[in-house]
Amino acid sequence: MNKTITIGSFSRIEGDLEIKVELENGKITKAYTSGTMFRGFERILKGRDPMDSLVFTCRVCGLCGLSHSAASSSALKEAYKAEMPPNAYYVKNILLAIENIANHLTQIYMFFMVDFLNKKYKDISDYDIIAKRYTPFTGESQKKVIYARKKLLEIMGIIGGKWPNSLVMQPGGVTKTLSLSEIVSCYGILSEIREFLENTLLGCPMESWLENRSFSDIEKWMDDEKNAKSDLGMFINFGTKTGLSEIGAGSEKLLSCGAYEEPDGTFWLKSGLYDGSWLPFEQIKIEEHIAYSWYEGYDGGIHPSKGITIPNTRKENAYSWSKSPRYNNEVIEMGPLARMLVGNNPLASDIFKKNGSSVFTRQLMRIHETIMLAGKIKDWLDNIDTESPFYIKHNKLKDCSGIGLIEAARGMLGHWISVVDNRIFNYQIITPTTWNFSPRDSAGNPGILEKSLTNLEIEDPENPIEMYHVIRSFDPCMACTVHSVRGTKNDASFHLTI
Amino acid sequence: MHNLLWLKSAGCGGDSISLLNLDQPDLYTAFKMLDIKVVWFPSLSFESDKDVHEILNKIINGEEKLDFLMVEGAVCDEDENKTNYVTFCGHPMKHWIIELAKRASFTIAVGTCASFGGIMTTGSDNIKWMGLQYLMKKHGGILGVDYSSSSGFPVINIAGCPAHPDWIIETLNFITKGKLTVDNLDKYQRPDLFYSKLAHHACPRNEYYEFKASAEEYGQQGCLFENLGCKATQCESDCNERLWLGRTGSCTRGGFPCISCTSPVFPDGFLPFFETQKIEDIPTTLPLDVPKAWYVGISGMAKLACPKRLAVNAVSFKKIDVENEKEE
Repeated sequence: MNKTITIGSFSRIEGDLEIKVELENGKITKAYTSGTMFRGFERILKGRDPMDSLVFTCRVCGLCGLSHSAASSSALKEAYKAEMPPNAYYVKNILLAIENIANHLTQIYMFFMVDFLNKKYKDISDYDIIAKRYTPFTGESQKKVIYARKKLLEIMGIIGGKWPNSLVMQPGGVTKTLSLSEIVSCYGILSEIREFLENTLLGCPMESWLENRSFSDIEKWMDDEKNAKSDLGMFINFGTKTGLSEIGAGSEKLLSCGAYEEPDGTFWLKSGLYDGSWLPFEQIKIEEHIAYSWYEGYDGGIHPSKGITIPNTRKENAYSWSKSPRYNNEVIEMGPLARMLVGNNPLASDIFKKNGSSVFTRQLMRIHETIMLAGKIKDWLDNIDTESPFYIKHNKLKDCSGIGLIEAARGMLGHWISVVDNRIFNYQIITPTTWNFSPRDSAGNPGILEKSLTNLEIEDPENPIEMYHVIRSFDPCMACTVHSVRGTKNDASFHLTI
Repeated sequence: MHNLLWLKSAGCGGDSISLLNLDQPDLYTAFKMLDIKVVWFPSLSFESDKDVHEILNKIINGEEKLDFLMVEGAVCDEDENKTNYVTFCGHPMKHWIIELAKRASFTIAVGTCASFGGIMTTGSDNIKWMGLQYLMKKHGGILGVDYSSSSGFPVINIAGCPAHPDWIIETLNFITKGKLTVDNLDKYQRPDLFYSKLAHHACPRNEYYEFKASAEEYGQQGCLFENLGCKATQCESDCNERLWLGRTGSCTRGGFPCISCTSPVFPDGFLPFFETQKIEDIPTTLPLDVPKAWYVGISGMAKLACPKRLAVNAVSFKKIDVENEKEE
């Protein structure tokens, strides 16, 4: 029995997404991903003052706009040969960490856990607890997280002025000069967040959770009733019962460009490619393919610094307005799991070696990273020296180019800028969701989500909840898939019958 | 019970995210307090796909009432048979907004994109992005000049990039209490409660502003108006009085210039963003309510009268203690 399912109008993701899959005897044989909204930032930026990119790119995405600010200010820093004082590195790291924790908490509670309320799981024990805690708007944990999240963002307010759309990050550092009393306020807010994480998410001190180095450690951790009853405990418990570790395998190759740069140029979470062992990351190996995207102008892959974006709505076989980024011609996964594996985190390595990547592994590492980050912010606050500057003035160069690569919540975010005669000549953005949700490349290899959905068994095609788990485990941010265009109706509706 | 439906058109989702930051009370408590039932909210609701379609159809068929239609993001004026730049449940967003707006008691544009087109109007592409009832300063938009919702209100514009969560919830609060009248909307249909002040009011750098003691680069304590492109004296909002994120910050408190994001001509009406354009040392972006001749006279005097304490600190990132100069 063959059947095609198309899901669109997703709730609980950022932006617009359409997924089409073909089913054979209840199993997905092929999957196709596409975005359904065109905004075209790269075309808007062409010809503008290079500094305008700071104003425009943070508005690509309401959830991770500050990550775009970080990438954009970093690309301009390289282009203008600007320098930053040590304080600016710490402050940028704090702000990025706050945004990433806010994103993770939103994904964990408001986007992911809600799917456990699906009617398929009604008869599983503890469903009543799930309903009580995670029902949108009224669930007990939902109420707690919306409070904790806004409390956390007060640090963003103190440092970044407002959010979304703060302009605090600049090529020469940050515009905010922090006072001692503002830093003290930040410590205070952090300790409230710690209380939320320990009382609600974990059921134990953050340090105790971070001592877990293997899956068997987690099994022991779950023996403590307080832990098992926490939200993380509920995830582990319900996630196991619903088989989340058996679905959603991604790539065997995962990548991080390095996260949270310190003044000495090292990263707190190191960069690299993980394929069972560690290899160095080289940005020159990034290429974008357009074989199945509605663009023309080249064959194979080209480096984003030379990116070409010429739409062709009538291109045969194309089915997406997203390009296909590849690394060394390979399909790469990114996100918290990638950062943890590349950084040789013992818990991540153990679970990955035993189970490979899965919805469960991906989600667990998102929670794990949240806890690590919440602990690390204090160190960066400690390092700030209020007697030293936060910003160094720089010149604007007439002709130059720069690259800004950072790790946003969902993975590597890259901005490539080239400036000719004081105007933006070319601006290319590759977001993590473009990597994870890309269409097939020139060699016909599906993107990560497409691969993860293939062979997935769907119990009830009318209620394909299994697909939702896989899709959400990547935390898609389609607003970020800035290449997305949708052409004429006839061109965009994509039919494939086999 | 008031039904609320939120739609995301072409935008970044930043207004939804901003709404989640609501403080005093938090968002869920606010919905309860105002007796609001959320029929569907893209970032939060359980339902996807077919279930959403059904919800929309029920409202359009009159089976379910709609008190508040909230839209974020710009809308594309497109012909369904030709293009689909922003689609939702199988149709262009334009279709849903027009149909649902006929049923809504109040139609509310949240954010500058939905209000005036915002950032989407800056592209050179020949795509007709606009707000619900305006394209920048031009009245009309996707719903047309004559549109009013069943309560007799035109589209209520809660401008801002993003909109402050208080502006959104307080507007709903005033409506449910029957305290908002059409007369409370300004010439761009923004509630005058929030947009009749300037972002400049209550800026902690105002003493520097008064004496024209200006910062020359970021991180310094002086006023950002004269050199660094700050548009707070032109921006109609109460940002620096109300403050953001649990009343902790604002753009100028974060040390960067206001770029007047509540304006119908945001963003390109305020270029360049980070420099102040001047003609013979006089900024071209003078405060909205100060005549130019007066400004020139006063600022010249103010510079001469500037206490040393301010002159020194304006260009310093950290506080420098200067002994008070006494009159000789």
